[in-house]
This record gives sequence, structure tokens and C-alpha cells, in this order.
Amino acid sequence: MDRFEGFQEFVRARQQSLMRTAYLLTGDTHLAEDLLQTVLTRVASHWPKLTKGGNPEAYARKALVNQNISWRRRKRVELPGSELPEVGQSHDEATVRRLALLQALAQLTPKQRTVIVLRYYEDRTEHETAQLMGVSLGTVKSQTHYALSKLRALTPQEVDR
Amino acid sequence: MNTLRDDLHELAAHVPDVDLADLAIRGARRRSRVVRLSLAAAAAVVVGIAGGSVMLLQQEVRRVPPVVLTPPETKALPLPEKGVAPVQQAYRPSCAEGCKQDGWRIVTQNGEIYQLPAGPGPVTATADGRRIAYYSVQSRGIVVRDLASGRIWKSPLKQPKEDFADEYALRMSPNGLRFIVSGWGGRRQPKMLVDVEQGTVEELDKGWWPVSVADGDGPVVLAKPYDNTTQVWVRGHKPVTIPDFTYAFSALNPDGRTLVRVGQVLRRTAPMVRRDGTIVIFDALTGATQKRVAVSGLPENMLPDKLGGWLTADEITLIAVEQSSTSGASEVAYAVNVRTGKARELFPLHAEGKYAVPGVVG
Repeated sequence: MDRFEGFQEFVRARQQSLMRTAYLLTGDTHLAEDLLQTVLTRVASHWPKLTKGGNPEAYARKALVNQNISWRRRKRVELPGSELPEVGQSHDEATVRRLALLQALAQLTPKQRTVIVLRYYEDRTEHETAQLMGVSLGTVKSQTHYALSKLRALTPQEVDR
Repeated sequence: MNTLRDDLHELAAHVPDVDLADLAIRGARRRSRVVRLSLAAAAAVVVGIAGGSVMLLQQEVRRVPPVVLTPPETKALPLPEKGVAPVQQAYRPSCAEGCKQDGWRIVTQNGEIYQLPAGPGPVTATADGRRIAYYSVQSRGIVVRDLASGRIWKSPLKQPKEDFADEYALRMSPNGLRFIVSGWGGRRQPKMLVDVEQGTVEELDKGWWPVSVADGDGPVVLAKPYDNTTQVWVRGHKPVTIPDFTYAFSALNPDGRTLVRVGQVLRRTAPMVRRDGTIVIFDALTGATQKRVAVSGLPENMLPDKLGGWLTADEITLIAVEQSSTSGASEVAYAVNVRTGKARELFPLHAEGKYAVPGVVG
């Protein structure tokens, strides 16, 4: 029996969703693809075990979060950011706001960015977020508070509306 | 908060489609092939030693077909028990595309390359390169080894290999007999100060990142970065705050108070920190900046990125990184005079995978 049986179906069903989270965590499509490929390789390596009662998606999401925090601790300085378009050109207000959000996210610490993505993109509860990140509930609360304060300072229209 | 939610969804919706299933399976197959090869090579070493034959090892390794797209590899011999020259750098080849020998290697100042018996986790060396430290699965702890004499000191702190499953740091004192081992992300998150000569272990305060540790009962320096500032703490004194988010420190000068950090600026047009080509000397006991010095002698496209131990009274190790690259950038080790900023090239770093340079804080 092929030990990767079912893996391709799993990836094809879930990779786009995982890629979107990876992009929000990294802020860069190439890094997001690298991150996801690293994580999926790990999932494939453990596939036989994961299909026997494990939860491949939960494993993949947890690995995505933790691998990214680990990478970002070292890469914070080097991560590229998107340039804001010149005001008055053909970009509407929402586009400018989203680019400002991307840049503001790049200013957050790895954990702060992760809590924002998990709480406000994936709509996870504080408890789920704590489990995925392997931290305490208190850490999730405090990191969310710091992250929102920082976003409020950098891009108030995102948080105060 | 709905705007934040909506905008996150809108940003994520523009991510290009990917198809990573086959790549992931190929990667997993290569990983398992590397594991099988390591086991085969280990078995061959045992047989080779018993039979007095080195040829058997070579035959066993050749039996496995070459992995497609594998970059050319350098063969590394096992680390001899003694008589090894000081280490110039250690590196762990990236095995994303498959490789024949996994694990850490050291390059000596004579240019010899040896495979380390290290398990998972960190490898580091004293600033003079004469002693190395690594995690030994067999000893369940960090082992310090004098490369010339072959003498080994085992850490009194026993650690499961899970301590090194995520992110970790290992800082050695100049003589290597004292070190800090820290871990993040795992279940235990150790923060320990170990003295292998005295056989003592001391738990350090949580939340602090290790910068450097001196020999004997000398100063231990820790740092705690916040959003835009960093606290620096020479234990035994009050922590001071410096006006930068940074991990890029040198080791503490033997004078017990001078520390150097890599200069950086926050860009006005984008909220990103950028290295600015300078180093900043400051007093770690008061936080006062003594001098900001522009580094000279680096190629135009390279900027200082990390610092390390003191090579002389005025020189520290500096790692410069190519300015334009975000990953896989070329990196070069220099010695920089902290008073004049003049840098002299030491050696280029191994391009692939992780690396460790003696004494470098990072």
C-alpha cells in the first residue's frame, strides 16, 4: 500500500486555505510558499501516523504557526514590505488601507502577528489560539491587546471602525 | 474590528494558487531516504571498525543511488578524537533537496571538514574556536569538547532532545566551561546557566534572551526586546533600556560594561527596521551610547547583521549579509575595529543551511 495514500487529496483540498493563512503570517507569497512546503513535507513524513487517528489539518496548522514564529524570530529585520502606492493614483481607499495593514502587520512581533491572524482571520477563540500556538490563555490575551494597540497606532482605520 | 476581518480576508484572497502535494511527497521521500542512509552509514561504520575496513563504508554509501537535483557535496570525515585544529565555522547542510550526510559539520582553520557526532540542537564554539559544544543524545545533554586534546566535559543538566525541537540558543564563555542553554516554543523552555567545571546548574529568569556569558563567575548578559526598545541586563546590575528592537549584540567586553550592537533605522516610508551600516558602542551598565561608528571595508551591497566575541581589545567578529536578498543571502565573517569601524575579511560563510561562527551572538 502506498504510504502517502490520501495525502494528495488532503493537500489539494486544504492547501489553498493553508496558503492564505501562511501568506497572512509571513506577508510574502514566496515565503508563504516556502513555509507551507516545509510544513506539508513534514505532514507527508508523518502521514501514515496522522491518518491512523491523528488530525492532519490540525497538525498542519499548528506546524504552520510554530514554524513561522520560529522563522520570524530570526527574520524580522529582513522581511520585505509592500510599498504604499502614491496617493492620488488609481488606487481606491480600500486598497491603500489594505497595503497599510500589510505594512503594519510587518511591524508586529511574530506572536502578535500570529494572534491577529488566528483571532481575526481564522476567527479562532482565544482558547483555540492558545492551543495552536502552544502558549497560555493569558499570553494570547496580552499579545492580542499589544497587537491591536500597535495596529491602532499604525493604521487606526482598521481597528477603530 | 469588522474592517480588520474583511481586509485580512481580502488580502488572503489574492494569494496565487499553489500545488504542493507532489513537492511535499518528494521532500518526505528524500527525508526518509536520508534517515535510511544515515542508519546504513552508521551500521557500516560499526562493521568497518570491527573489521578494520574503511572500504566497506564507502561501498555501503555508494549503494544508494544519487538523489536528483542534489547540489555537489563535500565529504566529511568523522571528527577525530583529538588533534583537531580550532574551528572556523560550523554548518548544517540544508537537506530540503536531499543530502548524503545529515547533521552538523565543522570547518577548521586548516580547511579540514569533519562530521560532528551531534544530535539535534545547537552547535557552537568558543570565540577562539578551540572548544565546541553540542547536544549529545547519548549523554542527554550538552557536551563541551576541546578539539586539540579531545577532553570532554559533560553537562550536569540532563535534557531531552525535545528541548531542541523548536528554537534554541547556546552561548559559551570564552574558555567554554560555562554556557547558557535556552529554548523557546517547546514544552519546557529551559533557561539554564551551566558550569561544567564546577558541575553547577542555575535557572535564569524567564523571558530573557542570552547575549553572552563570561568565564568563572564573570558577568552574564541577557536581553529582552520589546516593540521598539530592548532591555539589556548585566546580571548583578539594574537592566537598562536601549532605543531599538534588536537581538544583534556583541559579547560583553572583558571590561565588564562595553557592549556593541548593530545600528539600525526605522524607515519612514514603510514600517520596517533596516540595518544602517553602523555599529553602536554603549555602556551596558548605564545604557548610555558611547559612539556610533560607520563600518568601512565591506563591499557596497553588504551590511553588518550580527556581532560576536572580542578578538582583541578593540576588535569583534561581525557577520555581514548581502543587502538585497531576503533568504539564502551570501554572508561573510569580518573582524571589525569598534573604535575605527574598519573591517577586515575573515572568511565567507557556508551558503546553505544553518551555520554557527565561533563566538557570534545569534
